[in-house]
Parts: sequence; structure tokens; C-alpha cells
Amino acid sequence: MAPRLVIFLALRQLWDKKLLNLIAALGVALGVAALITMNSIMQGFQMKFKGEILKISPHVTVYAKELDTSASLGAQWARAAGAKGPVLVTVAHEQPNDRTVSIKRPHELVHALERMPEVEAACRGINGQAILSFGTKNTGVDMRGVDPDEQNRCTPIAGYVEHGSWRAFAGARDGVVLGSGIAETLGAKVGDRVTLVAPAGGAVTLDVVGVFEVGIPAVDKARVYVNLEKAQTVLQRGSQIGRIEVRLRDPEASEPTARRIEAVTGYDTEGWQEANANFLSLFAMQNMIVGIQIASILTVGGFGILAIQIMLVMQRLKDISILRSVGLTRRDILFGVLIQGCLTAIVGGLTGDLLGWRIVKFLGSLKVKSEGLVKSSTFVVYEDPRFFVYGVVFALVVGAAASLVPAFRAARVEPVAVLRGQVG
Amino acid sequence: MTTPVVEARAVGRVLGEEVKQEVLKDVDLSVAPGEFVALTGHSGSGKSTLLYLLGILDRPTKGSVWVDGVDAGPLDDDERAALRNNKLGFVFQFHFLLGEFSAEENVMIPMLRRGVPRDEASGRAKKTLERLGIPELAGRRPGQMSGGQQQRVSIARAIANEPKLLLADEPTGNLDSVNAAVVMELFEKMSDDLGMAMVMVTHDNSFAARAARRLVMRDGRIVEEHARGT
Ligand SMILES: Nc1ncnc2c1ncn2[C@@H]1O[C@H](COP(=O)(O)OP(=O)(O)OP(=O)(O)O)[C@@H](O)[C@H]1O
Ligand SMILES: [Mg+2]
Repeated sequence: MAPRLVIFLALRQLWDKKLLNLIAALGVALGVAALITMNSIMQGFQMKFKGEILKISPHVTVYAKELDTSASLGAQWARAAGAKGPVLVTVAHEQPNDRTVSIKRPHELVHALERMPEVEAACRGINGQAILSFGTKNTGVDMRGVDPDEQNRCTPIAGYVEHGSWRAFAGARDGVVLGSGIAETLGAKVGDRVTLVAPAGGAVTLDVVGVFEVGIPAVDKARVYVNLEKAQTVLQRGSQIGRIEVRLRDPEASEPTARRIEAVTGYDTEGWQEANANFLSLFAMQNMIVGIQIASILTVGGFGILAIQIMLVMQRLKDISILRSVGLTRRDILFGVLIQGCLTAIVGGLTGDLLGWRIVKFLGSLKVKSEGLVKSSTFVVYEDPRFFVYGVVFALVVGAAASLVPAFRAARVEPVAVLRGQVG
Repeated sequence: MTTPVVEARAVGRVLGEEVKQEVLKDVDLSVAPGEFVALTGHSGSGKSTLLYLLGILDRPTKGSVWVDGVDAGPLDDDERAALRNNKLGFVFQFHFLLGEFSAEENVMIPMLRRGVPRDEASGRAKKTLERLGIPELAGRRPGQMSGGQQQRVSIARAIANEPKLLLADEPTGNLDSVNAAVVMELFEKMSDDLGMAMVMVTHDNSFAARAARRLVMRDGRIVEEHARGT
């Protein structure tokens, strides 16, 4: 092959039909711009969502529910017996394990968990539904009984307290920290006195020492934090612990670590990824759908290149015949067309990058109030330089694939057939 | 005896897909270095077909074509392209130039394919255009030239690479008589200057008469052969 000559010819031919090739490039540019915009929006939203979740959710939660080991023992017995022939089935009721609703020796468990290398902190808690009253107003709340200092190491909530402070909560046995939505519903402020009642019957009077807002409406409108003992009193649970929350050094490792803790402690565990599996799988689905859409747009862009290159090859049959007659090989001709298709695609890719960048910048500057899954005052976009690289790479792949057909068509040209006038 | 620049040995060519037609039948032809051969005959007698075979643009159905002592039959596509590039020059009836390139660039392309450095190719292209009396056309594209000018540029392209054999298919067919005479003289001069052999298809008997040998074709065969002056 004569690469320099081929490049020279290709560049000139490309430039001579710049308008046509630009149109083809625009098709690709739209695909790349869509790729960048959609990914920025989706990644922006998904990362924001994950970030919000991780802000105040434990990475792993250990529930006060023992795993059903006796059942498997029973099953083993039954199997062993069954091997010898039919036997009477034991119908004695098994102790329902779900009824064990507290964690035994929670302090020791917390210390044991904190000794695990993956674990950064562990904390005890008890949850329950309750009704919070202020003056004449009532609202149902998701009550979290916690040890303030311990909890803050597990889920750093202190930074989200907007009125009052977490420190005040740590110092006040009768304190309660309200989600901003609850404070708004009740009209309660720091310093007000509220009453917490559980369906089970317990009631306590508490002082509002803080109002927090994490930006997740589902949390801000439902959650209140009280001291462990107060929650135990309201729920009439003595000094029981209902769950242990765990913070990991690497949040992405929540699933394997959760399984390990489960194996070691015998308690049921749940990682944050599992807890939010419905959202995360929704995201995965969303990503796939958008991926398919982008692939379709890029494919359509590719067909633009294909159509225009085929047309140009058919227009250039005589030129190709001359080039072949003066000694260019089929491969020279093939690469000439491939280069043109790929360059068109690269120009399209870069244009798409630029376009996508402008769109993302514009969207990022939009003031959009959103109160859906996460609370946000702007369009959350995530600008990853990798998207721009992917854009050009995908464009190049599309361009190369699209110009294969015209390139092989050009390489197949029989100069004699053209010169005889059979073709072209 | 010197090696012929091109030699056809019992060459036959069948054309057509549904209706097969034996367009060339057992043609033998040998062209010595520097020799000027004119090919005449009625339309459809097989002149162009023979020329394409001699220029190894086409493959014979029967027989073999030898270029400078090499049998072109067993060569693959790339080797044949290289052989055309190194040894042969073509001038077609319809002055085929690449419309997207200037005259100089058109002339340079075969040299560039051969690996001649750009500067040298450019210099040789300019010199060749000068020799053909059209140095002022170097920067012009074919669309801005007359037919005769384009034909001269295509001759420049064929000879700038200094081929051993020039194949021309009615190079004067599209020119008026004045231009045709000019082109004809150029061919003779080039042939003399460069020692290039030439096979030229022509309908013009006065041009054919100036060739060292004049061959007449009919129905796919060479039926007459005249030396100059006979
Ligand atoms: N593709 C083809 N299929 C079948 N027959 C063909 C084909 N191309 C050419 N022919 C036939 O081959 C014969 C020789 O054609 P060729 O072009 O070699 O003639 P020519 O002597 O160059 O004629 P002209 O002087 O008109 O250029 C003609 O009879 C023509 O009809
Ligand atoms: Mg002909």
C-alpha cells in the first residue's frame, strides 16, 4: 500500500464533497450529542441519588432476625429418615424465629463488627412507627431510637441539622431531632415541646433540639431521631436493640460484607444496594433503554455515512478505474474510502462532543425545582470526560462499520468494465 | 534478440455473459523496445480489447501476455497493479483525468504510487507538462481546460513515470484535426526522446502510416501487417 498517496487522495476527495460529508457527519454528531447529554443527565441523577442515599443510610443493616438454621436441621433429619423409607412426619411447630425481635448482647456485637477490617463504625438502634403531636397537630413518623454519638459515626447526620444541632441532641436525654418536612407539617421549631405516642401505648414528651434536611423528601418528611431509651420506652421494649447499622470503608462492597456479617453473626443483614435494589435495577434498566436509543441514533448516523459514501463511490467509478490503471491496488482504493468514512465520523464525533458539551452546560445552568426522589434546585448533570472520549470512539466505530460496504464496493471495481462502458 | 516490452501469445478473449462472443481469436503480437505500433480496424474488431489485455488491465480467456519478459498470467492483482505502475502508461480515448485534482497532481499520482518523493514527483510533473507545451496548466483542474488540453495532461500522466510501453486508445479521437496533429507529434517526439515503445489504436490512416508497423484487425484477428512505407 502507498499510505501517503492514499491519505492525500482521500483527504482531497473528502474536502471536495465537504457539504455532503458534513451532512453525513451531522447524523453522527446528533448521536454523539445524545450520548453525552443522556449520559450526563442519567449519571448526574443516579449519582446524586446514590450520594443522597449513602449520606444517611447505613451501608449494611443487621436486623434482629435470626436466620432459620433449625429448619434446615429439621430438613436434614427428614431427609435422613426418608432415605430409610416412609416415616411419620414430625408436626411439632417450630419456634417462629421472626418472634425474636431483639439483638442479643448488642454491645459485644458492635465491638466485634468494629474489629472487622471492612467496617468503619457500627451503631445500635431501634425503630418504630409513632405519632408525633404538637399543639393540635399530629403526624405519623418513622421514629429512630439512637445513641447520638454512635449514630453520627455510622450515618453522618450532624451535618444536615439546619436548626439547632446534633450536639444539643447528644446532650439532652429528652431531645428530638425532626425532619424538616415534619417540622413544617407540625409548625414546630427548635425549643418547642412535642409528644411522641406509639400504637403500643407508650408516650413521652420531648423537646425539639434540631431540625435536619438531607434532601430526600421520603426521609425529611418522615423521620425523627430520639434517644435510644426514649424509643424503647415508647415502643415498650425494655432495653432491647432492634438493629445494628454498619458503616463500611468501601460502600460498593456492601453486598459481600453483608453476607460475611450474616455468616458470622447469624443475623439477617441487608446492604444498601440490596435495600435500594428496586431503584438500582430501575437505573440499570433505564441505562439499558437509553443505551439502545443512543445506539439506534448512532446507527442511523452510520447509515448516513454509508449512503453518501456509496453514492460517491458510484460517482467515482471512472476515477477509481483510472487509479487502478495507473497502478493503485484494490487495497489502496479500499483504504481510501475507509479513511473518508472514518474521518467523516470523527468530525461528526467531535461536533457531537461540542454540541453535547453545550447542551450539558445549558441544562446544568437551568433552575429546575425537583422534589421527586431527591430534592434539587438545578438540573443535576454529571460531566465525565470519558463520555466525550466514548462519543468519538463510538463515532469512529460507526464510521468504520458504515464505510466497509462502500469501501469493498470501490475495491471490487473492475477498471476494464468501466472503460468498456458497461458500468458508470 | 532483445526481450519484447510486450508480447501476446495465442491470446483469445471471450466476452459477454448470456451471449458469449469470441472477441479475440489467437492473437500473436510482439512489440520491441522503442517500437511504434499502430492498431487499426473497423469498429468492433477487438482493438480496445487487445489493448486492455496488453496493458494487463484484463485477463485473457486463452493464451498469455508477457510484459518485459514476465508472464502476467500467474501474477495476483497487486503484482499486476505494480507492473502497470512500473512499466506501463495509458492514454484513453476519453481523456480521463481526476476532476478533484490539478493537472500537476494528476500527473504526479502514478509517480507517488511508485514511491517517488513528493518534491521530485512535482518537479518531474512540471517538467513533463512543460515538454508538452502546457506549463501554465499545472495548477488548473480538468474542469477548467479544453479537451485538447486535458488530453495533453493525460499524456503527461502516462509518460511522466517513464514507462517502457505506452498504450493509447484513440488518443486523438476526440480532438479537432489541429489538436490531433499536435498530440500525434508529441507522441512521436516522446517515443523518440524516451525510447518508449507505443501501441496506439487509431482510425486515422495518415497517423497510422507514420508508425513503424501498422496492424489491421478484423473480427478479433490481426489480418494485415504493414511496415512503414508499404
Ligand atoms: N461486455 C461485452 N460483452 C460482450 N461483447 C462485448 C463486450 N464489450 C465489447 N464487446 C464486443 O467485443 C467486440 C470488440 O470490442 P472492442 O471494444 O475491442 O472493439 P474496438 O475495435 O475497440 O471498437 P471501436 O473502434 O468501436 O472502439 C465488439 O464486437 C463488441 O461488441
Ligand atoms: Mg475501442
